[in-house]
Amino acid sequence: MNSKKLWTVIGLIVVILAAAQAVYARFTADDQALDSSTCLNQTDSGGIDYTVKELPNGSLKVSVHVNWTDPETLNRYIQANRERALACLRAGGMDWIPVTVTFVRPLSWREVTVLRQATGLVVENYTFVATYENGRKAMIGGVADENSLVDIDKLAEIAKQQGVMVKGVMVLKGKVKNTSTGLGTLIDDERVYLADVVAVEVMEDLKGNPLYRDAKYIDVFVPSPYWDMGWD
Amino acid sequence: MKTSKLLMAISLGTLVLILTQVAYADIVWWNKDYPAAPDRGEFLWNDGSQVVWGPSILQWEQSSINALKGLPWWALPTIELEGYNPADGSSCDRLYASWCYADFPNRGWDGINGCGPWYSREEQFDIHMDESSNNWWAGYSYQALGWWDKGSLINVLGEVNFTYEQYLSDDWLGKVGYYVFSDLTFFPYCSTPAYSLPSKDACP
Repeated sequence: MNSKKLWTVIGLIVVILAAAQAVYARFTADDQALDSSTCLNQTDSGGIDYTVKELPNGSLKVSVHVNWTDPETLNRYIQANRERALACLRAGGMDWIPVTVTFVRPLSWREVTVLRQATGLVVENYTFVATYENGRKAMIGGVADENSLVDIDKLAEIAKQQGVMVKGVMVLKGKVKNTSTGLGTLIDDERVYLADVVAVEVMEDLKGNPLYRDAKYIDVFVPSPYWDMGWD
Repeated sequence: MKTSKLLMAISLGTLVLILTQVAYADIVWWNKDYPAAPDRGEFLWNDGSQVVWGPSILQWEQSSINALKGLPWWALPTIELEGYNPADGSSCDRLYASWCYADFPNRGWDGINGCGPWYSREEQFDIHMDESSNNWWAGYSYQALGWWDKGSLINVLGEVNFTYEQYLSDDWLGKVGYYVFSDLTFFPYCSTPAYSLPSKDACP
């Protein structure tokens, strides 16, 4: 009899725990959904301006416009992106965050490789900066392969052909995991000048637009202030 | 005696000037619609393990630079190197974007997959100019080049195109037609405007 009562109590506890777990999971999911939208909308970026061009193959070419001709606007833009990234981290609802990273100075390929490995960055393309002997600037852009790599020997060959000296990587475009070791590490790295995650907001905006909801692929170009950053 | 020497010097100077002008005229004028688009240039084409193509000389007149610098910041002027025919969407996926090069003020670049299935590789470079920069100089020779990997199609005709874009609207400036031989060498046979690829006639 005592044994029966004990099993009944244990059974009830299990049922109550299971129910509580279900309710907790539901609230957690709801919170994530709520946080996801908070991540996208709660930052003050002063409005995001972009244009969309539909290509014949059904993909969208999106160009973000940023008016950062004065330093104050640029600083506000950088801060807004940091806040947006932190909001995404808090929300945790998205696995991957598209990001365009501008560095404070040209980074060596080795430095970029270590950073990529530490953060799990998946890179779509790199912008290397270079100078002619007379100091004039140039950029060499490389499309990364499926392992986020470019052929560094080819880069050296192009630089030689063009008569320029490569200084390093100033910009990269890619995506990073929405985790403390991924996005969190990236935005806290002192070599990162701007970790621009505005593409998150643009993509969400487009998915909510009936005109573009069915787009097969969206490519978002996010500009970088790298050209005038004193690396020459 | 002194007068004849002076006349001789003037004649020589004039001859040098004429010759210089003839050399200058080798760079063709683009047939442009937008005032801010580049005015003159010359294409480069190299075939090796990759195809290298683009304007190796790209020049703006002062009036064009004024127009460029007068654009609002949302115009987003862009130099496009299209590894296909954007008019009818042909020549897709024969050339795959690999490397690009630019030495004019810019806000970055992007690889675009504008041709063929949306999941295929990118075949276009968009280089986004910085119209607000103070480093645009009239008559200066800038460059915009692309390196492309070769697709596997052989014994076919194809073309690559050069376009200036602002407000996402295109101002087509020229193209190079090519033929792909069975050993995957890409041979350029024409350029439009004619002679923008030196010694190549206009594309039919």
